[in-house]
Amino acid sequence: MTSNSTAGSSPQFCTKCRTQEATHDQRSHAVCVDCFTKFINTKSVKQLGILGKETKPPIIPNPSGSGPPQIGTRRYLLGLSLGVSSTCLLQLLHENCQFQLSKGRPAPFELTVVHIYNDTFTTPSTAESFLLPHKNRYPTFTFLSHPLSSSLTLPSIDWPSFLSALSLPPSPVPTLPTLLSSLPPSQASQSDIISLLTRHILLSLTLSTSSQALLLGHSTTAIAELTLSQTTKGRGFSLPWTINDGLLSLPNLSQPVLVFHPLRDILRKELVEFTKLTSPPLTGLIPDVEKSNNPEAHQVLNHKDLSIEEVMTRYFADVERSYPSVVANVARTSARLVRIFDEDRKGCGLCGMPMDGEGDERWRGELGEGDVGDEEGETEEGERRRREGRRWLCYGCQRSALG
Amino acid sequence: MCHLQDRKGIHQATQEPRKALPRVLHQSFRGRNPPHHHIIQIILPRRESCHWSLRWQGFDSLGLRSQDTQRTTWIRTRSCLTEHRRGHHRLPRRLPPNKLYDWTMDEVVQTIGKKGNCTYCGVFRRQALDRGAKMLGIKHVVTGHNADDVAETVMMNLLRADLSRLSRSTSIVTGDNRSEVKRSKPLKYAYEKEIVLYAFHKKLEYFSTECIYSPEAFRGSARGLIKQLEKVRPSAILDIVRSGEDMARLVPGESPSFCGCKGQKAQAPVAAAVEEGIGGCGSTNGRTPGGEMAALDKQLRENEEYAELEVDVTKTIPKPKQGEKETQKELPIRTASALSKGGRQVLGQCKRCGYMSSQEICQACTLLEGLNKNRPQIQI
Repeated sequence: MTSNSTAGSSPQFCTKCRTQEATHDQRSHAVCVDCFTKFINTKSVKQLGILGKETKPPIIPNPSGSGPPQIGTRRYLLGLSLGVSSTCLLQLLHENCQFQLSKGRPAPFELTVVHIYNDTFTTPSTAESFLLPHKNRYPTFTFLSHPLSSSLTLPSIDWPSFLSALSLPPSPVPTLPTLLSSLPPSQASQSDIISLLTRHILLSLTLSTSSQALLLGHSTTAIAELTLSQTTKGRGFSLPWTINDGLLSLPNLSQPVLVFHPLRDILRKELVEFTKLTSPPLTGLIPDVEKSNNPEAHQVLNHKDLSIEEVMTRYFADVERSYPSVVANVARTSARLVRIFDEDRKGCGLCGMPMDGEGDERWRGELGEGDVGDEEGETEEGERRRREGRRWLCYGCQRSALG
Repeated sequence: MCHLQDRKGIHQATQEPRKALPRVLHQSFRGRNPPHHHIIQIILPRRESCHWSLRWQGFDSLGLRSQDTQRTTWIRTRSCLTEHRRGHHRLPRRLPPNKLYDWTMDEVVQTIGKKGNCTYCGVFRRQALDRGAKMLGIKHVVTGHNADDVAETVMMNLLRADLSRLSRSTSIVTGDNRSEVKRSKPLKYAYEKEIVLYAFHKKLEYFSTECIYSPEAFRGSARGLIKQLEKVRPSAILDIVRSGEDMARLVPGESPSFCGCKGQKAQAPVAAAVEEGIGGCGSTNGRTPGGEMAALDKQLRENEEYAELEVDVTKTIPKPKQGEKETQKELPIRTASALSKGGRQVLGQCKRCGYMSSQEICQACTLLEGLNKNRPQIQI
C-alpha cells in the first residue's frame, strides 16, 4: 500500500470519518490513520471472535478437592516466523489482550509464541537474541525458540520409511544437513521439506504446551500464494487441510489440532503499512524488513536458487498492487474446496495429509505399475526408491523428497 | 536439451515416437479400446486465431490412415497449410460448401474492438468445430491441448476463482453419452516442449503464434507464472495438472467422477459441453473495456461494497410467538441450495440454428445477432 501523497494539492479528507486527512488506501477508499488501524483491528478481532467460539475455556478441577471446578483461560500457540504477518498478528493479539484488561476483564487467552529456527545456519543464542526485543515488548506472552532439527525425532513423521527411501541408515538419527543433502538438489525441494518439518514441530508443540489452537499469521495474500504454490507442488488434494481453518490430525498425534489463520481477511500490503503505524513501529522487530516489504526488489541470479514460494511471493506482490480484490477472491474461493478423507487409508508418511488413493490410481493409469516412471537411464536404485516411496508418500512429497 | 533430460517420457518423444500417440489415446480412454472409426484429431491451436476464418470455405477435413490402422481425421481451418499437408499425407479433402457465420475475426475486431473479442472467438470456433464434426458424422473430437495448456487453465481458473470450470478443465473427455460430439485431450500429459521435439523429429510443420487480437489477461498472467515455475522445477507443469485433477473432486456440488465418459450419473458434463463455448479461453468478463483482470477486480470491489449493505431478512423479522395469530403469510425463502436444485441446466436445442443449447437461443446466435445489428444492410 502506498500512502497517498497530497503535496501540492488540497488535502483529501478520509472517506470514513470525514474529519482527518486521508493518508492511506483501504480497499480503494482513501482513509485516515485512525480509520485504517481500526479496519485492521476489526478484521482480526472478527476472526478472533470466531476462534473464541470454537475453543471453550478449559475446566480445571478445584485445587481444594471440593467445590465447583474453575474455568481456566484459553491457551493458544502462535508460530512466529519473524516476518511481517506473524509479527503483526502478535501485536494485534497483544492489543486485544490489553483492551480486555483495560476494561477490567480477565485476559482472554494465554499465548505461547514459538520461533522455529534452522539450526544449520543459526545458533541457539542468535535465535534467542532475535526474540529478545519481542520478550521486552510483550512481557505477558511466553516466548520459545525451537531448533528445526528437533523434528528429526518427531513421531508424526514415519522416519524409518522416509530414511530408507532416501538411502540413509535408520540409526543413528541423521543430522539436518545430512538429511537436506540427501534431497534433490533444488531450492524448491529443500524449502518444501523444511516448511513441512516446521509445521510438524508447531503442531506437536501445540499439544505439548496444552494449547487449544495453533495460530498462523497467514494474510489473504499468503493464503492465495499458498493455494497456488501447493497446486504447483502437486499437493492439490491436501489443499483444504493446508489453507482452511479447522481441526487437523496427524498420524501418531494423540488428538487433532485446531489450526487458525486470524489474518486471513487482511492483505499483506495492508499489514506492511500497519507495521509503521504502531507505536513504537513494528519494523524494529522484523529482521529482514526490506525483503518482506518489497520481495520483487531482489534480482534473481539463478532460478535454481529460487523456491516455488519465492516465485509466488514475487508474482502476488505484483497482482496485489494492481488487483487486490482478485487476490482476496482467490483466497476466499479456494477456502470453499471440501476435505475428502478416506478413513481406511493412512496419512502420508511425511506431510501427514490424507493419501489420495483414487488420484494415485488414475495418475498411474491402467497400464500397470511400472509404466509411469520408467525413465530412460534411471538406475535400479532410483526405481526402487520411487516404488518404495509411492506406497506411503503422497504425490507432492514424492516430488519433493524423491525428485 | 539438458533441461529436458529429466522429463518423464522424453524418450518417447525422441526415440519411440510411434508409441506416443497410441499410448496417450489408451490413457484417454481409460484402458478401453478406443473407438477406432470415430477418432478425429483437430489441429486448431488457440493462438492461431489470426489465420483462421469463421467461414466454411477454410474448413477442410482430411482422412489419415496411420501405421497402426487407426483412422484419424484431421480438421484444419487453414487452407494454405492443409493444402501442403494434404500432399504430404496423400489425403483426400472434403470442403463443406456453406458459410457458417459469415464473419471473420478481423471483421469481429473491427466491429467490437480490440478488447473482449475472446468470447466471440471462443464461442464461434468451438461451435464451428462441433457443427463441422457433426456434419461429417463424427462422434469424437480430439484436440491437441498439451500439459502446458491444461496447467495454464488450472492456474487461470484458480486466479479468477472459477471453481466450476476448475472442476471440468482437467477432464480428458468432456461430454457424456447424451452429447452428440465428445471432446478429448489425448496430449494432456505431454509437455509442450516434448511435442515440439516430437514434431521436430518427425519433421512436421507447425505454427507457433500468439493471438494478435486480444492478449488474455488471466491466461497471459498464468502463462508467465508457469514459465517461471518451470524454470524453478521442471516437473511443475505436470504437478499442476495432477493438482488440478485432484482439486476437481474437491469442488463442492460437482460430480466426484473424474471422467466425462462416466458422467451418466451427473448432469454437469452436459452443461459443460454447452458452457465450454462461453469464452473457454477468455471469459465473458473480457467484454468490459480495461482488461479482464481489472474488470474482475472492479466487479469484486463493487460486490464487497454491496455486501456491507445487505441485511439478512430472516434475522430481522421476528417470528410470531406461539398463540399469537399469524397475520403475515410466510413465503418460502429461496436458498442457494434450492436454486441449484431447481436451476440445473437442461440441454435443449437452439431455436434458430438447432445446435445444442441450454437456453432458448444459443450463445453463438445471441452473439451473431449483436454483430449483425451493427453491420451495414446495403451491400454494393
